[in-house]
Amino acid sequence: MSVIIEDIIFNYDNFNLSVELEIASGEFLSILGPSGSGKTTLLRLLAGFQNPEKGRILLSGRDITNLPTASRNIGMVFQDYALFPHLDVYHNISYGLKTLNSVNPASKKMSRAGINAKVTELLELVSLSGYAKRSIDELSGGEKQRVALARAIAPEPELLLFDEPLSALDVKLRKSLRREIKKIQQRIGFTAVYVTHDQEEAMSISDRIAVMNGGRITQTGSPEELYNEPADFFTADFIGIMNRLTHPEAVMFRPESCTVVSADSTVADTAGLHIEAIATSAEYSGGQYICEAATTNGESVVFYSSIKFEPGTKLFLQISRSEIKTCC
Amino acid sequence: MILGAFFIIPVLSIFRHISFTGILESIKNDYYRNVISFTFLQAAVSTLAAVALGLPGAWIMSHINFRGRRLVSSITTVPFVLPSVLVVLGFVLCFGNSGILNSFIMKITSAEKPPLKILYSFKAIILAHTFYNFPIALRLISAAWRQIGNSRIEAAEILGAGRTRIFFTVILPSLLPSIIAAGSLIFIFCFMSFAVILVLGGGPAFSTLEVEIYRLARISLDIDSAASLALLGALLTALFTWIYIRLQKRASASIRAEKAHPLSKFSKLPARSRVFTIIYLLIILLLIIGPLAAVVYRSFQHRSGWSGNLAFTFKQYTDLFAGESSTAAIFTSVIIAFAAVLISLPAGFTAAYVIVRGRLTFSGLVETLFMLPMGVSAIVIGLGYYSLFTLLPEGFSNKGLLIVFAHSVIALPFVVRTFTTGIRAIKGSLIEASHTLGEGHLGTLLRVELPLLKGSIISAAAFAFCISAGEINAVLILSDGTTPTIPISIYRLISSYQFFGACAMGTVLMLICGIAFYLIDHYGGDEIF
Repeated sequence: MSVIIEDIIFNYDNFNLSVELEIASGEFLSILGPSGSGKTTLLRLLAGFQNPEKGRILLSGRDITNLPTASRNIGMVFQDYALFPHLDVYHNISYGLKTLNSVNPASKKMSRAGINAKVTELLELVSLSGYAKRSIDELSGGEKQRVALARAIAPEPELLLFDEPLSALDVKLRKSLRREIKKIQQRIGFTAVYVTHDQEEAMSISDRIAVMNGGRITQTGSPEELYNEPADFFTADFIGIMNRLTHPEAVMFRPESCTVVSADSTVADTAGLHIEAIATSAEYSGGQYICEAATTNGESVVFYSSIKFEPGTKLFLQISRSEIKTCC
Repeated sequence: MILGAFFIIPVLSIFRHISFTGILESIKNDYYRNVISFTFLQAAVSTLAAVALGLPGAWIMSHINFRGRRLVSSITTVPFVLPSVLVVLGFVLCFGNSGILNSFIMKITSAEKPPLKILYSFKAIILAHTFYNFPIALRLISAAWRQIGNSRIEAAEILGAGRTRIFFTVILPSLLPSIIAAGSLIFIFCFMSFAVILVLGGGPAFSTLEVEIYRLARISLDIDSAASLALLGALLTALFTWIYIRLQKRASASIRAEKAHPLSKFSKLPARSRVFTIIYLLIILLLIIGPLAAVVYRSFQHRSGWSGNLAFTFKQYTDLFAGESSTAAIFTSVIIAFAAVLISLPAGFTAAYVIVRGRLTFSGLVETLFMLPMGVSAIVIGLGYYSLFTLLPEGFSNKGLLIVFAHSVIALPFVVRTFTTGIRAIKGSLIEASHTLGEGHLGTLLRVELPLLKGSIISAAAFAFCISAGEINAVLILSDGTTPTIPISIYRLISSYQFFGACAMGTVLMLICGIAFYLIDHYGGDEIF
């Protein structure tokens, strides 16, 4: 159930995608990037909605590069749920269990009793027992996405694709549902590729994240690796906030590495980098302020503080040497 | 392919009869020049009148919420499915010399002679065309008006614009594409109008291209001249259709820009607007329902002798169902209509499917091509089949079959339009979801797309059935009397002044179209135009 993407190239208008990536069996990998970075295109190439011009895609060692979607044995959860409006919950979930398509590798001719048992089990898995007879438009957004998840895993695909599945839901529901998706994935053990532009979502749900920008994967790694050792400024700034200064020396550091100190302590502590700055703004984010200050040569620094600094206040900032990133 | 077989070949076979000098002659000929300029004139006047009558209705339907709004909206779709021969019949009954309107005026003024002489004149043509076509203007323009969001108007108000200025600088420019699109569609229909001109025009003074083609082909038996005129007419209408399709695309693009504004409650309106709304609605209901009601009413009447009194009777119906030729006509019409549905539906679906789903380089062009039969009149298609028929060996071809093919072609644009709208409305992710669940193209078609297109299928079938059952032009050109249909027998009954019998037959046709109308209305054929 591993996936190997071998140097695929895909061109569309002025957009050029070129990707190489390996996903281990049972791994939960997120593709994270801004809109237009090519993450959805990569997912569509995996699904077979589009075909690459060059390169190969291997699923469990099987070359699926030019295989039609229906024969790939993959599942997908869509942003707009894509539930069949003319079928009830039961028939949506059982849709992939009895297909007319004989080429489909998962096409097992299941008995009616077998299908019944499977649907009941899946409804229980997504905590929607008793919903079988409901029609689709009776469901809330969260319920729809649970049904969509159950429908996608019903034919036991070797790879499950998620296309920003939670972006249509509100913040609270998004958080609880992503925990649930993760739990179900760990229980069943399917391999997952999850596309999102939400870095918090990617960090919380993934074993590994691939950051995409301009049609390329700029870095892959565990959430901790990406945060602590970003390969470039793009990754660093996309995952969390990153300050970058050129004066007095070229450095990068996270807001939490920066503290406000008194004027005399700057002399005492030589292990830190010391900067003079003027406070420019402070936003309250609950519990703390997200402050911004301008250095003497006009560069901006973001840091967190429990005190609100009025704009114009002169500040002495200290950044601990060990937390300064050296890349770029 | 299908289009090629059923549409292009017959139309091309017209070319056999055409010589360049023939066309030149027909343009040089003073009589034909008059015919052509009259065709333009009546179409232009009819269009202006229909748009003018439709505009207030468009305002009402896009701004006011009143009880019966849904009903009025349904009623304005009636003329879309109403056969032209019924319009003609209804108009004769209402506005004829001894028609309902004249009898009513004669009764209250005790005048000796009928005061209104509307029939068989330019007025009659314009009136019938206006009635037949103003709902197109009403529906297209109100759809656009509904989409002009309040935010745009409020923005203009905040910037200090007065009501007149807002109308001319904000509302009118937004409505213009839809007004022009509606106008050009109405112009095409009036340009190609046949039965209305043939019966209500009543003479060579009011002959249009279509009537002239028919007269040349079937009465003077001068196929060559008919073909020259047909080509000229087809070129003109094809040009108008192309313009319409372009404008319509722009109009529908501008429609989707904003969220619809809310409707005002009728009771909250100023008195002036309320009176205006009521009067307008009464007028259009009278215009639409009046002639139809007159047909049904007259069908239950009987006049003893030439000037005897009218009496209620079922005689027309007992005669109708006892008469062998009339039952045969009903039977023929129903069979032909069913056959036309059976041909045009699969053909139209395939075409629509290819247009929407196929990765064609020129899908826009292909779509225009499929809309062309709409721009090439039924008379020309009929003439094409007639000309094809003369090519086939004796006894080889069946006239009924030719009529079926001609009707399928005439219905095709409406069927294709219904299906393209329906298929476009299916979200692409549903198809993709089906594929990821292991279902192939055929399975997806059978398990997802066709079930979702149920409404479009019923609506398209009803449209095709109705168009075929009410179609008279192609049948007149193709039929030699061996295959009379319902519209043909109505036409013959009108021609021999047997109005009561015509009414009974008309009521039967109305019933057939009524069922189709209900199905279309119920399953939403709103977005055909």
